[in-house]
Amino acid sequence: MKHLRRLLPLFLVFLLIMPASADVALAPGSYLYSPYQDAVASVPAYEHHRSIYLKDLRGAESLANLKDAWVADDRIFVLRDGELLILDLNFNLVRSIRTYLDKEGKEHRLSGGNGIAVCKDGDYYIARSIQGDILHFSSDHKLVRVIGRPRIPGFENVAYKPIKLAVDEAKRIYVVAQGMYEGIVELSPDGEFSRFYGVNRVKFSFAQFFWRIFATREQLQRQQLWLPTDFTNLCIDSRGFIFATIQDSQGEIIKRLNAKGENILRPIEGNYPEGDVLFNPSGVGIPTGPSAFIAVDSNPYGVFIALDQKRNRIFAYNEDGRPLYIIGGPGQHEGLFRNPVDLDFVGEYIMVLDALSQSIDIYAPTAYGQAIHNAVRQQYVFNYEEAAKHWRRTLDFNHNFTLAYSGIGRSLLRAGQYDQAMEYLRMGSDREYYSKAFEKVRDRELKIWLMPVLLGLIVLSALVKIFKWQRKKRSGKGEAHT
Amino acid sequence: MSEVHTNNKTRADSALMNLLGRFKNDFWSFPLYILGRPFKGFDEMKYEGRGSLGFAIVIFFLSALMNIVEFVYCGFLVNYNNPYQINSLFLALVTIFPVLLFMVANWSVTTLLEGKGRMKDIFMVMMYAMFPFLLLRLISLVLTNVLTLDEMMISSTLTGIGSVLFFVYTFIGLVVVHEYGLGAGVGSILLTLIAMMIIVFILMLFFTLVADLVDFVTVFGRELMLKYF
Repeated sequence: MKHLRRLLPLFLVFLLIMPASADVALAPGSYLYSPYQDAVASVPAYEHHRSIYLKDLRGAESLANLKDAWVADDRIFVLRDGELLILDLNFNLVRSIRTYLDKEGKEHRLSGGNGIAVCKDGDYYIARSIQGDILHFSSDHKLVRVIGRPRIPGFENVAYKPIKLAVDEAKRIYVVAQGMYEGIVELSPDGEFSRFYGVNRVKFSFAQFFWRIFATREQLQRQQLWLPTDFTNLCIDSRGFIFATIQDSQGEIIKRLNAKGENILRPIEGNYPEGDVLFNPSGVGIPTGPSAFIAVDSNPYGVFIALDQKRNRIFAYNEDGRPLYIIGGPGQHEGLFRNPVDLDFVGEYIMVLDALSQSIDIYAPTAYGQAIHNAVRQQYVFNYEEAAKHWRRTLDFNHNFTLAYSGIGRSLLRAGQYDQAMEYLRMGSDREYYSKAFEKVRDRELKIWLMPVLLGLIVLSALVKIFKWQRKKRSGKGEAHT
Repeated sequence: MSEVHTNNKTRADSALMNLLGRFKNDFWSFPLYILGRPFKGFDEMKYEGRGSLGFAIVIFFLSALMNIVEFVYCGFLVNYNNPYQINSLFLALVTIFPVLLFMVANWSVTTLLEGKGRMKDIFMVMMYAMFPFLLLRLISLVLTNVLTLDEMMISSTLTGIGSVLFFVYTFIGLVVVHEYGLGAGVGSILLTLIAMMIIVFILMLFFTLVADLVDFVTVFGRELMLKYF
C-alpha cells in the first residue's frame, strides 16, 4: 500500500509524458472533411521540412517576385521575374540565368517571365505576359525561337497575355492567357494557333435569365458582360491529361481535361473537389467565399494537389477526387504560408513558392502521409491487398480517415469476404462498392432462405385454408342444429 | 347456464368481429374502393357518410411519421442523411404544414367560389389520396434496403408513381366534393396556390412583427430597469 502510494505520483507523471512520445505531433489546423462535410481534426500528413532563402542559394540574385516552378526529371526550374534558377533535386543551385542572347547576338534581360514549362528532352519554354510572347530555350540554355502572338481569327483586338503554359509529349503548347475567355490556347509545335481547348461554359441562374428578358438595351449595356470564367493554371499529369484550375467559378474550380477538352474528373462518391467545404460567406478582415485554386500538380500515381490562394492551403485528392489531406494555412510560422504562388511535387516532397516571404518551402511527408501515399500508389496499380496494409497503417494514426476504410473494404471485396467488406465500405462511405458487396451477400442469403420461406408460406396458406374450411363446416353444422 | 355463457361469448365474439370488420372497411376496403372508382367513391364519402375522419387523421400522422422513418431507415445506398442532424419536428412539419396550408387556402378560395366542400371534406380527400402514396413509400422504403445501386430505380419509380397518384386523386376528390367541372377545378387549384403564397407572406410578416414587438418590449423593460432600479 505504501509502495502504491509512492508510485502513484510517478504514474501520474508518466501519464503526462505519454502523449508527447507519440511520433506524430498534432500541427495546428490539421483537418479533413467527413462524408457529412463536417470538418474533423486530423493528423498532419506533411510537415515543414526546410525553407530555402536567398542565403541558401549561392549565386542567385534574389528570391523576390517568385512566379512559377517546374520539376523536371533531375532538375527543378524556379522562375522569378528577372531570373531563372535551376536547382538539383537536393535544392542546390546549379545555374542562374538572368540574360539571354537573341538571334542577332544582342543580350537581353530575362524579365517579365510568368510561367515555365520543361519538355522531356530538356527544352524549356517561358511565358511572358507583358511582352506577350513565349521564349523557347534549348537544353543548353540557348534561345531557340521567340513564339510571338499567334494569329487567332476573331481575336485580333484582344490583348494576348500568356501567364502559364504546359508542353505535352508531342510538343504542343497549352497556354493560359489572361483575358482569353474562350479557353486554353493550344499552339501546334511550330507555334501556330490550332484551337481553343477546354472551354468553360457560362453559368447563370434562372433569376438572372429572367431579368435579362425584361431588361432594356440601355440596362443590358450597363450590366456586366456574361463571360466564361478564366483559367488560372495548368499542369500535365503522368497519363497526359491536363489539370487546369479555374478562377472564381461555382462548383468546378479544378478540371482534368482529356484530348477533346472534356472534364473527366467525375467523382462517383462524395463532393466535387472544391477545396474548403465550410467557409465564411461574409466577414470583415477574414477570407470569405469558396476556395480559389491558383496552382495544381499531380504525381505519377494520381494524387493531385491544388493550392488555395484564399486561405493558403494545399488540398490533396486521389485520382477519384476524394480528399486525402489538407496542409498549410495562412500565417507566419513554419508550415504556414504568407503568399504562396506555386506548388509542385518533388518526389514525395511538396515544394511551395512563397512570394511574400521570398522562400521556397519544402514539406516532407510524415509517417501518416507516407502511409497514405503508399496505399494510393498500390491502389493505383490495382494491388488492393498491399494497399489495404497501408490503409490499416493510416488508420493507426487517424481512425477518422474515411477513405482508408473504403480501401480496406475494396480489398476485402476482392478477397471474397463480403460481410466484412460491407462493414468497411459502409464506414468508408463507398456506396458504389458497398452495392457490389451487398449484392453478393444478398444473393447468398437468398439462396439459403428463399426455398424454406416459400415452402413455409405455402404450408401456412394451406393450413389457413384448412382451418377456415373446418370452421365453415362446424358453423354450418351449428346453424343446422338451431 | 352454460348456454347463456356461450351466448355471451358469441355476442362478445361477434362484437369483436364487427369492430374488426369496420376497421377493415375503414382502413382497407373503402380506401381501395376509392382508388378503383374515385368519382363514385369520393361522392359516397361526402353524401353517404362512408369513410371515416379517424382514418384521415391516422394517415395524416402516419405520413408525418413516415418522413422521420424514411430519414433514419432508408437504405444506406441512397441514404445521405447525417443521423447527427436529425430534426424530427422539422421532418414532421414538412408534411403537416403544407397539408394544413393547402386545406385552409383551398377552403378559403372555394367558399368564395361556391364550392360545396367543407374543411373536413377537403382534408379527407387529401388523406384518401395520400393513402396509396403512403403505401408506395413504405414499399419503396423496404426496397431501398434490399436493392443494389443498379436496381434502385425501381424504388424511386414507385415513389414517383405514388406522388403522381397523390396529385391526381387529390384533384379528382376536390372536383367531386366541390361539385366543380374540370375547368373550375383547375382554376380553383391555381387560385389556391396564390392564396397559399399570400398566407405564407402574411405569416412571415406576422412573425417578424411579433419578433420586433417582443424586442421592443424587452428593450423598453431593460431601459426602465437601468433608469429606475
